[in-house]
Amino acid sequence: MKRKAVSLFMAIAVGAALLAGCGNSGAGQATGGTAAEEPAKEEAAAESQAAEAPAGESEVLEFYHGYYHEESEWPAAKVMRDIYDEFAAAHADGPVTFKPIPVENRAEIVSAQVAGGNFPDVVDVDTAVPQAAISQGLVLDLKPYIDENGLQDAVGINYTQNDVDGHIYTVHDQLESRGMWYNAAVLESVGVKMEDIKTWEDFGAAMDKVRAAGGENYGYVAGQGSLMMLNAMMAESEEGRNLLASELTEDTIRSEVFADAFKRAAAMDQANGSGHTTEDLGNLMDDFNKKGMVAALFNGVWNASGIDAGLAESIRPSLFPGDVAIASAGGGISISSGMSEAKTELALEFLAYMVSPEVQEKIFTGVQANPCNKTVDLQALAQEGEDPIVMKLAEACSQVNSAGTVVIGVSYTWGGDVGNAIINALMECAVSGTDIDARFEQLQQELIALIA
Amino acid sequence: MEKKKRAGGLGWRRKGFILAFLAPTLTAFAIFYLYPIVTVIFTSFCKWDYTNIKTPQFWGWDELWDNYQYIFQTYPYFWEALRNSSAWALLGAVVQVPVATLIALAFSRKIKGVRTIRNIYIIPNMISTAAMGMIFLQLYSPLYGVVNPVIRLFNKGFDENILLLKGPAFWAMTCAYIFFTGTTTLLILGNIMAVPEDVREAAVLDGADGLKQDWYITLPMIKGTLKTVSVLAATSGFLLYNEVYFLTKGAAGTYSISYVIRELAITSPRTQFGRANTVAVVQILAGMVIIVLINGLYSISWKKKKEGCR
Repeated sequence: MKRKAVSLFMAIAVGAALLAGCGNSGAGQATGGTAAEEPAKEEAAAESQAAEAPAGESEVLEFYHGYYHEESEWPAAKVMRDIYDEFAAAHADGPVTFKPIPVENRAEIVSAQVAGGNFPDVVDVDTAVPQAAISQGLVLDLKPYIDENGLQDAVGINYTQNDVDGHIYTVHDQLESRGMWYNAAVLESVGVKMEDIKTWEDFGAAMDKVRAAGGENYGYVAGQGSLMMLNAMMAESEEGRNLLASELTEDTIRSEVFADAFKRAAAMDQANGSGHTTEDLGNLMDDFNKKGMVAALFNGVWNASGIDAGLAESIRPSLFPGDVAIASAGGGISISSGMSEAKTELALEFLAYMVSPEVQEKIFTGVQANPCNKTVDLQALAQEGEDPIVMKLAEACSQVNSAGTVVIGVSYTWGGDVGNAIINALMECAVSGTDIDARFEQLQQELIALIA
Repeated sequence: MEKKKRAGGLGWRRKGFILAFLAPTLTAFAIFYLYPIVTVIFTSFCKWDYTNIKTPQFWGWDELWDNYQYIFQTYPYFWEALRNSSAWALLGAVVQVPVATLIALAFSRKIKGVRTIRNIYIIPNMISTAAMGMIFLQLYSPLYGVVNPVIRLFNKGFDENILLLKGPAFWAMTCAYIFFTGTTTLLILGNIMAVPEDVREAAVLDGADGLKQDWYITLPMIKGTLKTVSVLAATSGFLLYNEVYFLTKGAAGTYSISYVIRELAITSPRTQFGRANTVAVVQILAGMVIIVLINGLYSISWKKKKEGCR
């Protein structure tokens, strides 16, 4: 009898534990883990909160973003969080409250939700809005709102680059603007003035001189940066620019322009040496920004904030040879199409807030990024603050914004997998003795297969 | 008759209790393992990408093998990934487990200071594989790492990035994970410690001491654990992902099966879930093959050993 009672008690306990485990996700979230660590739990908690909210209580508009970093790790992240928090505070008492959620894995969150036929309320997407989300009608078309409210200049390049058949599904509040950074001192030590580098041949010749001088200094950081080189080389011709702006096709892969750009970039990388090649620029960035031992770096305007004070005089921004800049709006604020009217209204208000001159000025001075709003006078802002980093950033942004040729980054139009394949091929070509023609043929086969 | 009836009734009650206790586990297994596996297998026969992400569409009997055909015949990195992952699985079983066993045997000796050494040995194993990837990235750096200077002792003027050389890159990645045997060592060590002392004493009386005792007594007594850790080492080798992501991103012929799945499902703007799941089916099957092979190999080798002893 006693055994029976104990067994019965244990069975009930196990059953109760199981039920408690199933029904406790929201409560568990409230006590443990940060939003950055446990986005799925956050989401589940918020969903249950919204679902359980009694009538009359405010709705919650969730906003996923990628600024999860500690202030000490990346001060710009704190600036962005403050911008979001200000908006949240301004709507704390409204019918819909705004809840920014910092996460590390936006791409995975969006991908998982889209796979389930959902989309986050608002998300600052990582690279681009998945086509799967667009094809399912999960994302709100922002174009009517932009047009009705005259925000064309405020969203800047987003208006054209993110136009998908007359619809705009995402607006990035800051642009990914890329160009060259030169160390004038390293170049001058081998008798080259950075102003004289006007073509890729000039660039190659300058790098040859740096190499010939020997010592610790080297030409440039290849690998991830080499994709930008190929990107900029293709932008030199009308045909190349058209190919960059459209989806990757077999014709593009077999085009002369693509072959020429790849082979020129690969030849330069091989001369530069595989020792100076990395799939992540960050791995060798200090060689340029802190140690001053690299002549050139392909990077975004944001590189201004990483330059060591002692090298501020000699490190200067420039465009790619041929007066070319790469500026991609890329993925930014995207809004779910399946929300209540009140939530949608607040989400659109948030969009207008993010591209407003006030916020855009903060993005420029605090985040040190190129703001999307065309009406912001960057030079004037830089001179107001007199911060040398901001002034350098303003110089870089102004150069990109007024470049003779501005093209989009290939990864945005051709896809991240294609971008990776090209980077890998270029990196392998950096090894001395690699047959560039053979590797290019192999790359062509890979790309044709990838788009199949 | 009454006794029989009572026994039968008790049997049903007992069965009921067993079922009640198994139910949570079975439910969790069905939800978290069986359902995803069945979904992965089913959707590998579906067109499932950005065009129909909400509703995977069965290819139909005529085009049943479409995804498999693409993965096996067209996708450029599949065979390379399968070859690498299989090699890492094999190396996990034939290198990692013997290394861990030797270390565990050494740690099982009653020598002064062995506990401290054991604790020190475990420390690197607490570092995440991602952080380990970053550490090895520095070690292999042609500019600052320690590997290139060592190579230069034999090959003067060598200044290439070892992670970009086909062949060496594979081995460089292997070294980044294979010697981190902490968990495996602990599992084996725990079992070695559980070998009864009287068995050891009897072996000593029979003249089996030191290595002889390890070979004829200890290892046969922990063969079950060795089999388990071999399966674990092989499957974790087969699933290698972080090292690929942090060291090469697949350059120089270093794609792995797990990396390829992410490329198809997440990195590709075409969100190719169907094709990614096709690779996942191969991964599941390969995992099963690994388990069967290791079980088979262990039963054959121990049978032979037993026969040899007779």
